[in-house]
Amino acid sequence: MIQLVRILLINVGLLGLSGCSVFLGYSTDLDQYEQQLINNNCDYTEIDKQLDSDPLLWALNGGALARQCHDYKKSIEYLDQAEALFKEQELALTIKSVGQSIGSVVINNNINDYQGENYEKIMMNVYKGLNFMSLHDLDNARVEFNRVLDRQRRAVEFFEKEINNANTKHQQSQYMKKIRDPVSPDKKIKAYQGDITAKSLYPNFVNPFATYISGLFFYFDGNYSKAHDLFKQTARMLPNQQQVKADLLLSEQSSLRKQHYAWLIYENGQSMIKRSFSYQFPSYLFTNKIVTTDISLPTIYKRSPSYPYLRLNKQKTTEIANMDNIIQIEFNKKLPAILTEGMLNMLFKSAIQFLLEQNFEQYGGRWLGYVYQLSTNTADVRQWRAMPKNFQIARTLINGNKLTIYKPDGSVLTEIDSLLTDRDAIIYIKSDIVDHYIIDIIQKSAIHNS
Amino acid sequence: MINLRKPFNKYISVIMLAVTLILAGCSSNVEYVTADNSDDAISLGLDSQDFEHAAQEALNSLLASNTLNKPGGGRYIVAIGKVVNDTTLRIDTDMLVKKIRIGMLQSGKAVITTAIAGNSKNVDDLIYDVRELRDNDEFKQDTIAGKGTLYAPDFSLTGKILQRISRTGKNKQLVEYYVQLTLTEIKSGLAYWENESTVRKLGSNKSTAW
Repeated sequence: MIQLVRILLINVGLLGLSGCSVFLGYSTDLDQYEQQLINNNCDYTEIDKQLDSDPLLWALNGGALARQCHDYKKSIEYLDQAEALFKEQELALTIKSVGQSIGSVVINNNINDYQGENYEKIMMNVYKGLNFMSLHDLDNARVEFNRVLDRQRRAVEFFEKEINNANTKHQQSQYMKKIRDPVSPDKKIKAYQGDITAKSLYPNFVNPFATYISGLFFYFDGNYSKAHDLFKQTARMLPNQQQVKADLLLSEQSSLRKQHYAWLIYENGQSMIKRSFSYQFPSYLFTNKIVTTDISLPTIYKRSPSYPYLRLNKQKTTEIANMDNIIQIEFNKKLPAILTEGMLNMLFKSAIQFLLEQNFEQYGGRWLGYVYQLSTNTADVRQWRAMPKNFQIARTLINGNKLTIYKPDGSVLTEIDSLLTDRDAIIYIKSDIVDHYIIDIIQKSAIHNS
Repeated sequence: MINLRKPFNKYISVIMLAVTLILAGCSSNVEYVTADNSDDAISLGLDSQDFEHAAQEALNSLLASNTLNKPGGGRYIVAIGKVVNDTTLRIDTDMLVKKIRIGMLQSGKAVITTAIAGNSKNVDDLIYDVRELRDNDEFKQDTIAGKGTLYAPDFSLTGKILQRISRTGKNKQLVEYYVQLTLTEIKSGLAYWENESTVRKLGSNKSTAW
């Protein structure tokens, strides 16, 4: 019995040390952070405070906020910090996971530092690359986009099994059977122009936007062959994406061309988020030594887009990556582990109720255990909350006239008349909700045009 | 009453054993892919030792090529162009270039101009700052460099550092670096000398190479 009291005392001590996040989770903090993004509130005090308690999560959040505030240097500082933490976690993962699993079972996963997701690592480097481009530091931007590409490669390794399964299914599909049948009169096959390889199955496992924007960077950097390769990879992932096809063609003729273009990159809406889902098992039907048994698990919810699309002059933006799908697939991959951890957590806390009732019935033992379960029954809903629902692209010629970006209803979102005509430009618009948007214009500076 | 002591101790033993096993399998095993595999304590990135190797190899090749042997004697003037870092590492390519510059100067076959360069970091601004003093009464005017005294370069040295990363086996990654350098005659635009040095490293695939 002394051991049981010891376990409880240790837990209470741990709970005290880890602060109230283990009771409340991070949902409220993250909701407040989102409000800060929507209000363009560039005060970093709260972020810096949170940074001490959960460094990775808030370094990522800080990076996105500073980027939105056009403070690119600060954004890079936060994201560099996040990248160092990712590295630390990756190298220490095997040792740490034992302690982390114990913490998750005994209390809940909120007691552990945020671990992050693959898609977040990729986007962290994409944003850093864009930040460096905004600072006209193409040398460091190149490093970041190379990191993006290596992270994409690692994402394919992470999803190796799923990609192989998807590929096998695809090979056995009716569509492939028709393709293999030389006498098939199917119209679909006549319309087929691209090559169907395993790569066309990738879009949700890796982020096509990350490959595309890396290609665009190398195009800006004058490395047309690398840009061409990356546009080609993107086109293979998305055989029906017309803008990518057009960019692929452009990169083939790039060294000869005299015309310059403006690309519109549109981050649309807010990505899926995790919310807590609770279920109460009727365990009191089987034993009267337990009040009840609850399990709380994270689950994900879709949120609304902002403007379904934008129009750059006459060009309508088209989707290049669906972040919701990417988030969902990564969540699904981790779900079995999350479920196991949740079940163990529930069993452990039920056992505590049972043991307390057996030994301290006169003090209301099971109720003490139940209070402990209730107070620590909080799902881990942490994630980088600055992701959009999807990414869209469009391109138009820069001809000296002002460019107009229209909302779907035909009204003007913004006008741009500051672009130089002798070099390419990126107009980067992030709109999380309707009537709120942030715009970044990236154009190679005259100094760096050498 | 349940005796928790025994199972609790058992759990602790199991956990301790697991931790020991994990720790035992944790050495990072980063090693060069060379015949003797004699180097230890290295990273998957490019360090000063790698730059030293690459620069020395490039320099040996350059001097052996006789490109810098000026007919009739004398020294060529070389301008330092841009060395593009196309890797995932934030490296200072000047570290590499510096070693080659030193080697070229020491060979007695070339001098380096700092009046013009591909990267503004390699230009000595003072050359131009002093020339701006031409109408300044405080300076003895005949000590200020006159017009038409700067030498145009005969050659430019440019380069690129490339990186290829691939997983080998289940949990190892092979990181290869290619240090490519080109010496171009400015008058004709012809490349007179080129070299590629390779650095190959094998390490754990647990984390990124940078």
